[in-house]
Amino acid sequence: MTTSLRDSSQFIESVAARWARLGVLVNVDPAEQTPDLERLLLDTARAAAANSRLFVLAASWLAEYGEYVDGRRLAQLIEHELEPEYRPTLGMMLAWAGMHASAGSRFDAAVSACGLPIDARPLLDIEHGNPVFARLAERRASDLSRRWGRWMSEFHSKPGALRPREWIAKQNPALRPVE
Amino acid sequence: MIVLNQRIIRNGLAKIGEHLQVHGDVEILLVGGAAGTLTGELPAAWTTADVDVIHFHLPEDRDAVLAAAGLATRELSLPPSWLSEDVGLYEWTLPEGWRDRRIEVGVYGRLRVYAASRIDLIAMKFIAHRERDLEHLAQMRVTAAELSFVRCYLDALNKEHSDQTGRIEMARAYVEGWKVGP
Repeated sequence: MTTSLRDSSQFIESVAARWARLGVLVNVDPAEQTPDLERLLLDTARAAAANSRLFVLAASWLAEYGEYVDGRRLAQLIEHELEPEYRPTLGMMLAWAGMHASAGSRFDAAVSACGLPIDARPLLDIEHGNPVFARLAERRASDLSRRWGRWMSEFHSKPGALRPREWIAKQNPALRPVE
Repeated sequence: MIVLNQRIIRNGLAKIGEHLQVHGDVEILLVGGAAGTLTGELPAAWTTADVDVIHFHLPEDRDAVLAAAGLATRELSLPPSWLSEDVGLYEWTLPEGWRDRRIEVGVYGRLRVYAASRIDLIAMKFIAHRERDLEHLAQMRVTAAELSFVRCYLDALNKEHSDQTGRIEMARAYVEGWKVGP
């Protein structure tokens, strides 16, 4: 995926719309159909540098509703479809969710598939593109983000922006917990 | 056109107005993404529909609003902390004169809702300087005149809140590093 496509408003809105369908109170019309959750996670990693909010919301959703993720399929998609530069971002998201979820080990295979950090830089483009901001981002980066080479500060889960489980199940009958 | 985020927020506020048990009118001030969305300063995909209330005109209104918000939460299947007053801890970051600049975004029964103005949102986003604040500031295309306002604001804040020097100096670094567009 090219950088210009990844940064486009249309792409960001498409990612946001799919999360809205899954109960994230982001401010766009929800997608018409239940999204392919594992592919949505790949796209969220691609969009994160332009929109950190989606990253935090997706991580919060995973911590809360991670049982809907097929960890093995996600690991395969990471290996076959996700460009190497986005793997640290997804690895960090999954590792964070794993630490905050009751059944976090379901992400282990996918975290492994993300491999090792390939470089060290701010997660956000707006900080990456400004030397002063990049320095400040490194100063306040969380330990986890340093480990993945995508600096961002510590963040908290955002339950206030997630619909209840019952709402998600009602809107997305095709979505089933994965054993 | 009312976009989805506005619809969720406005439906929630309307429900609060419907359930509000008070004797007089109630005024609240919103900040953050909800304020930016309702005033058209922030694009939809960059904000969430939860609502940060930073100020109640009368402190005694707080409990009534939160009780009504609890009912709205259940009726509209919203998250439990959809309406939050946690940001009230940062009321000290509201720039002087905010009351004259606030924007009325709706009246719902006895509930009158205001949002912080563009310049007040900008100033508060610099002092908060989390990743999402920087993104919002980029979306808002801050002007040179607005950066000057923020510099004065930080000077004033520094005089009154010496315990917050670290945060204020960090905000100043972001202001000085900010690139104003053409």
